[in-house]
Amino acid sequence: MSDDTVMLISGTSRGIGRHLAEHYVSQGWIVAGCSRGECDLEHLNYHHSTVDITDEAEAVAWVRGASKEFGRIDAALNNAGLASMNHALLTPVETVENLFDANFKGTFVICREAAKIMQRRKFGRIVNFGSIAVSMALEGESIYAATKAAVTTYSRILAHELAPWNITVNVVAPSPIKTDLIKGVSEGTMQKLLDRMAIKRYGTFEDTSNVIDFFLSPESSMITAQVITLGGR
Amino acid sequence: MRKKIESLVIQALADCYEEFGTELEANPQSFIFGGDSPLDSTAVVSLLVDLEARMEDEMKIVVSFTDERAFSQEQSPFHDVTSMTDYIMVLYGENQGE
Repeated sequence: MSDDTVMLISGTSRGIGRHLAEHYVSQGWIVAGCSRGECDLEHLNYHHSTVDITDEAEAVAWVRGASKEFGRIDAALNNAGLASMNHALLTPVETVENLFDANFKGTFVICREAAKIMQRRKFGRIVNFGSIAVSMALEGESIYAATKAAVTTYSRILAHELAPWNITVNVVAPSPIKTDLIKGVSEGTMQKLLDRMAIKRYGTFEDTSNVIDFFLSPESSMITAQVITLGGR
Repeated sequence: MRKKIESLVIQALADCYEEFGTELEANPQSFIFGGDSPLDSTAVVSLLVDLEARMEDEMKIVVSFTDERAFSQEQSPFHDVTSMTDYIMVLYGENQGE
């Protein structure tokens, strides 16, 4: 058991999740990360597990295992997710199920289990991942945006349900970042999207961790049920 | 087994009462949710989460109260200590059968 603060991060094998794991271990957090595959991050305070968060039993075992190993969970960042672009009329139900399983169900299960542990210590910070796609209502992203809208609404209500235990729940909605999530989208489509934002550039990993730093800060105890969308949409 | 579980429920309820600031004494007839229970819904959720953890820590039994049936039964299994104990016995039996 440790007196150090402990954070769960899902989806740490690459992209934003990988950056967040590195960012927070460098700040002294113990990070329990997970992804479907391995992670090459090597650090004394980073502990990786191979977990399919769409499998409830695996996700529950991961959260409880981290709690048992480290004795506490102070924060949970639900970063893992899938993206898919397609016209609504051409989208198979299987895609809908896969996206909702990964983006919503995975977040829901980790929030539920992490909050049970946080509730015992009457403290916790949960940060879920929305998307700028929700406020932009982008053609071709109806299902992806719907999953992120579900995460956003769920988070805002969860914030009220968990507030009695000093657990905050907030959402960071990243603008497009050059990650695998958008690798299949054409440059022209991406430029049109960027043109609709107040700040017309790709986001960076640091833009996202900056918002999360704010949500996690001890001074942010009154900040809950909030959605910060990067890029000014 | 039933006695042990009932005792755990009573202990968890007693701690919940204390935290909630009531001087009631927890016993097998105590109401948990409804009846004369002083607990609000937040305190009941705390109690259920606490019980899940105690069952696992002290009896090595994994039960989960995330079960829709709990809310569809005519009388809530969370109504009082006896119904709560009965319900945990059912969940325990199901786990054993898996």
